Amino acid sequence: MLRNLNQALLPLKDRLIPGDAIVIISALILLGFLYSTYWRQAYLGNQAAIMIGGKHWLNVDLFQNQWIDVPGALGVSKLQVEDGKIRFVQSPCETKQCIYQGWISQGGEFAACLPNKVSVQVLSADPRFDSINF
Amino acid sequence: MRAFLILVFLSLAAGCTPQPQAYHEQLVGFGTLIDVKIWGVDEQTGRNAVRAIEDDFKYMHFAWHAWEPGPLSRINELLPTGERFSAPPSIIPLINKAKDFAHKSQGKFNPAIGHLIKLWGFASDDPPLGPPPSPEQINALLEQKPSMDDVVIDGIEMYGTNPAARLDFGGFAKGYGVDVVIEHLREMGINNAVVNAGGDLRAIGRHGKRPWRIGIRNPRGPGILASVDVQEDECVFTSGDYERFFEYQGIRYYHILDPRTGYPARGATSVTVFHNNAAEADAAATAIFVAGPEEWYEVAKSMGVKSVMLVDSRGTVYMTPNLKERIYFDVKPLPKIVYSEPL
Repeated sequence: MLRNLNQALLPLKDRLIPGDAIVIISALILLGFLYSTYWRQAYLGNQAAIMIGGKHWLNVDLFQNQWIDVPGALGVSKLQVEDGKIRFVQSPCETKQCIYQGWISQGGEFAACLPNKVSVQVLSADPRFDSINF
Repeated sequence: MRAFLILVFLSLAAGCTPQPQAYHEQLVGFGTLIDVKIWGVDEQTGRNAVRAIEDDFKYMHFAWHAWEPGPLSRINELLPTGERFSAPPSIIPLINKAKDFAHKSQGKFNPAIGHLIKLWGFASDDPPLGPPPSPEQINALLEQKPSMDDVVIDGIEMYGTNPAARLDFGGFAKGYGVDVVIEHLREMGINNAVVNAGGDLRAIGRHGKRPWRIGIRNPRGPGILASVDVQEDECVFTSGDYERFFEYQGIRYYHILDPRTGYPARGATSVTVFHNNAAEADAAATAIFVAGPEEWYEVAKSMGVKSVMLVDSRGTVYMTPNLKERIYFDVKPLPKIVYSEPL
């Protein structure tokens, strides 16, 4: 009991044993991994919100590769999801500007087919953009 | 060591703390998508605020629409008669501002060319298919010199002095509308918000501890050209040749017409104006686009805007020097940038 009390009163550095150092170093490595994996890439989105006429229609997982048919005002807009990004690939509009906008993957990035009233926005915890001037 | 361990623990704990989200909704209005983000309110407050400004947008769309039945189309029916008629109160401030902008723009901004816009087929929800109008048709309209001076407001009455004048506020009505709804949001106690009406954007306040982050679309390629953190009350307005256009026999004809020639303005692909008033920013973006790379600086100066970025048809960026430290280009290789004198 007295021995334990004496040990508790020692400075922290004198109480650490080699095993403690291994735990602390492991924790720091884990922290670095978590930071680089999740924090540094917080700008990149995991999901995208698809809207029709300004109303939310569907959230899609950007890491589940798929093709999505979205029924818009003029007809069907076809979207492609692949490896964390999304784009318009077919559209009933005249100018095809929505297709021309290409892939989007960063949080807040936005692509829209105004004539077909279909839009898609990448969602992320800390978006790179709050709004896109287009 | 103890302090270090506490710091590590707090870092991990901070990562687990849910971050507050901005309230976000999209609306359809003014023929485009309107993106609204509000920071620092609960969902119910955000929803109520967006419903309120949605009503504002619906009313303004009805009152100021150039070709759908409403107050402006009634004005356009009565102006050619030359007779006096009662001026709709919702339109008078718009006409007065349009007159002011038209004078300041040295003829590059002219909302009285509604007949020319109609002739090109842009007075329609659907893009025209072509062919473009003949030079004879265009010249016939230009010879009649329609201008904002042809629209006279006298107290609560108004009349036209030139049958060729037809009003189309497409060049700045969205900007004026954005000013109106931002004022309405402030009256509702909302001081941190972004309203983006199809590239006509005004931001007030901040997104929590950081400024609002805005991306500017690349006019000649996919993705984002540049990003900027906006100041506490600032408009970012972009006019581009990619917004509404048609192609005929390999030539692109877009909706921003040069009132002097009657044809789509050539030289610029996009113009972004940063300013503290949305209506002025909108009109300035249109006028500077018409002015093109040769005359943009003089027009920006006379319109009273201080921060401008113009991208020309070769991808060269012309920019005021006060934007140098604020704009971050997202394209590689970086475009050639030509800085002007300060405005």
